[in-house]
Amino acid sequence: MARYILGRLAGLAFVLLTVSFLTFFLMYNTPGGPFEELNQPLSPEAKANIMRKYGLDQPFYVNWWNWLVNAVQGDFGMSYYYPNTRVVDLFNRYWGSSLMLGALAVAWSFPLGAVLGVIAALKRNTIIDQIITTFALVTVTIPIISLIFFGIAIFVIGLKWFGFNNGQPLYQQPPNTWVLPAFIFGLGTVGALTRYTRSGMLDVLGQDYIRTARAKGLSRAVVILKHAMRNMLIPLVTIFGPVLANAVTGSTFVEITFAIPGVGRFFLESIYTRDYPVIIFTVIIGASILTISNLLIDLAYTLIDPRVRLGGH
Amino acid sequence: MSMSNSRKAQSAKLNRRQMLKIMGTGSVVLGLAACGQAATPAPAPTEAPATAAPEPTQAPPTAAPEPTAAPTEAPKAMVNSVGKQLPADAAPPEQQVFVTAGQGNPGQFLDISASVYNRGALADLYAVPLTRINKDFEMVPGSATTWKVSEDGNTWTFTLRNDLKWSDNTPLTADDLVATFRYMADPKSGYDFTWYYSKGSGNIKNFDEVVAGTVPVEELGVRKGADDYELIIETSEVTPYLPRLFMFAMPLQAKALAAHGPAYNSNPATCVSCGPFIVKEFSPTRVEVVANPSAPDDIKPFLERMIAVPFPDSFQAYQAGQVDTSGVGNAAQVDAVLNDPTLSTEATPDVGDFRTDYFFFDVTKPPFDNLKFRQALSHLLDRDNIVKFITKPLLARPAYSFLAPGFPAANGEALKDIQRYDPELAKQLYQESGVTVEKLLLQVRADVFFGAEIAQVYADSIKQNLGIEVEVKSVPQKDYMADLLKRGADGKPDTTIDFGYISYGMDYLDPSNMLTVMKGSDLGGRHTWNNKQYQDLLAQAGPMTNIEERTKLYQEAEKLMVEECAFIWCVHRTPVNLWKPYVKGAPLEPGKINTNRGVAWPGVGAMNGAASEIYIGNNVLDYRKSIP
Repeated sequence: MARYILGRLAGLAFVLLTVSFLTFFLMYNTPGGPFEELNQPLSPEAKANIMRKYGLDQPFYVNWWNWLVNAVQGDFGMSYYYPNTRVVDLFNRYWGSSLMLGALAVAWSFPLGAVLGVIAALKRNTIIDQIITTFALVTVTIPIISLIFFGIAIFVIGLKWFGFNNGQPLYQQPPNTWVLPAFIFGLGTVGALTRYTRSGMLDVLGQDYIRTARAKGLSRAVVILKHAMRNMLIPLVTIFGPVLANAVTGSTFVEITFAIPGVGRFFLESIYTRDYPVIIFTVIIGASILTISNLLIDLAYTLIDPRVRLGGH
Repeated sequence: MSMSNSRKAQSAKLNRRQMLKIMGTGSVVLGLAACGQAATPAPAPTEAPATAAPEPTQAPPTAAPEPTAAPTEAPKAMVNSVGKQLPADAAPPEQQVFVTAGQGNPGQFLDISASVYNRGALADLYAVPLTRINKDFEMVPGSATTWKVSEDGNTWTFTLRNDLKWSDNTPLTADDLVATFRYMADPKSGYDFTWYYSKGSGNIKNFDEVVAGTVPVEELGVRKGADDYELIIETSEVTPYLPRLFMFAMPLQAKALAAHGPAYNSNPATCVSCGPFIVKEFSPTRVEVVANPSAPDDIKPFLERMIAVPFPDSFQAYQAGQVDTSGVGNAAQVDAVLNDPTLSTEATPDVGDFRTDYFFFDVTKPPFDNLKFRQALSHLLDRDNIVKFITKPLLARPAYSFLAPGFPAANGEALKDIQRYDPELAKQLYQESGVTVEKLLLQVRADVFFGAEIAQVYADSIKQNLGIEVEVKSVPQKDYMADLLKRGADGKPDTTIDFGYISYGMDYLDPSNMLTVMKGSDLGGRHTWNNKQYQDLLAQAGPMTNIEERTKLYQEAEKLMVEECAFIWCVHRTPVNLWKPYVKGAPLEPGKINTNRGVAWPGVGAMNGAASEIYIGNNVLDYRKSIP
């Protein structure tokens, strides 16, 4: 197991190295840059001064190497856009809000989606099943951006029950700034999870061992709770990984529209302003979280299902 | 199934239904219950049990002072925390908070002298520029009380106010301004607005040479005069409009600049101000500033605080009651304003920065090097219908020339006929041009107001009348400008934008500013139309002190530019701003050029003194529920 984990971590390092190189390549080869003049043209001398000041007169691979050498020592550089601010400090300002938003969304949507999925499976082909599956389908197919706009139009501007974030971290805000975004952010998860759970449960309920358990005289509740539920955890764990990664790295749409100072918004703004040090840092963090959550999921499989062996053993 | 089993099953079914109902309603109730105070009525005060309340003990009658008849006094004038007396109709000091979304950009530098294009919300409140403008765009003294120019017109002497103190109790002196100008020119600074003081604009002596690193910064034509309050500025050419430029000459404190760099105001710990406000909180998502107690009385604000939250959509934040002002930025918002009785009364158009949106050609490349072809295209733009149906008259007016009505030397009415909408004439000119064109690419800078829609209408008109297919492509601002201003190794323009749509608004109220933008790429301009006659006219008019003669020359230059059709003028924008009725003060009152209520360009700041003069009216509580 330890060898397997070490192998995966070495793979992670390779992934991050590749991702960082590709990101540098893309950043430096995309038209425009952090200091392009917006209205009046700068004289060549003035432009050269700016480029020199930020090292942008060097080729991308030189800057990538410099970044790498500093990054392995824990120095991810300064933001181009926010003067005198380390990229890490900027990220620290944002991740808490994203985590809270994601945690709130997962906290209500994950259990609800799982429960609805189980109910739909147990009530297969009844009106309850149809209502639940229709609800799940609607929440999955309606783009989150539409829900956001309806939510804002009705509840923020119309009824004024909720408000936009005032620029401070989400955890310092009253509930009326985070309930609606957390609700909307979680809706898509509810639908997806309901569908996963329902189909997983139906698979399990059709297995021979469930029939055997029932034939042994065990009650339906015991069979479902003790045998079926455990075996349908694998699909739930599989979906939990990306949901968690998404929650931590933030929902760009929700954060931007509700003015929440989160990682998703931070990332998009850094792309818009071509804040290279921030872009590369956020990409690396996102890639790390996704890769590590996949590793954790693989490890979780071994706990849930003893038949699963990692590393080919 | 036995009766009891049936009942059990029924009961079990009911329980599950109930459970589902409870889950459904419960989640809604929980959601709503978690909402803010606005959603839930305040709980009724609970009555204390009669027995628990102690009986008040009556004071002996002798101990109570005799009530005296209240004299009929005038209401006591309110004074805010920095000692400034509030107007009679002002809200109490705790409500003197102005909330804005800024430009929708997160905060970065907070001083125009540190950076122009990386400035954030609530910038330029921490000093007083050398000169300022009033709401009618007239120049008034700023940190300089008087100025004079030498007989040869090249040496300016500015006398500074001697009562301006930084918040660390040191006086503002000429040394601060010398350090500021040196910072802007120093190659190490990488300042992004150097053109402003360069040749052809500010003409400050040696400015270009210092930027290029060929002359040491100490030789810049900005120096201290006879005492701490005298500033000498030398120009390489006679520049009669120089004081006008200096509304952007916002001093940085020499000491803070040396100790903490140009972003010292972006950190409350190092912020130092001689302007109306001082920074209390600064983050990319929120800036809060408070009244500066060390400012002189006329600079001290009525407001206690200003807060900027860069809401991505300030219009929605305005509708939600979370900001006090907002622009109107797109078609949906325009419709919302026009159809909402409240918003339509709060929306006021003004001249903004006299911005004009225009089409342009790369006249060095065929078919745009053909004058008749350009003239043909100039007669296919139906500006009246564009304004009527796309921008709506509220937001723009047809443009037939560059300089908008109200701008010095504006001459639109006289030039109206040159690029008039006339499809028949266009067809004739196209035939006469001798060129045959099948397809064109029209690139629109994505941020230009209604740019894509207007460009599409124009493209359809060209297709319909000349049979030329025009593809419209919208390009993000940064990428667009990078392409437009791209130069090859030989220094010549190397842009792929042969036919484009863009806008320009003033930096200072003088024809030299707007018209110099079109001087041509040979002289460092943004477009490839290099017309010697036009360039000569600008060079001749720039230094002239006879305003009438100067205006004539500029009008002649503009006429030439319109006739040459290197640019097809489309609309003069009249940006619409929303102001909550409780925002009050002299800067909001209608003026000579802006005849509607609202703070004129450049908005609430120190350059026009508006930050010191606006206040929150005592009707605020009718509208505002809380301060973010």
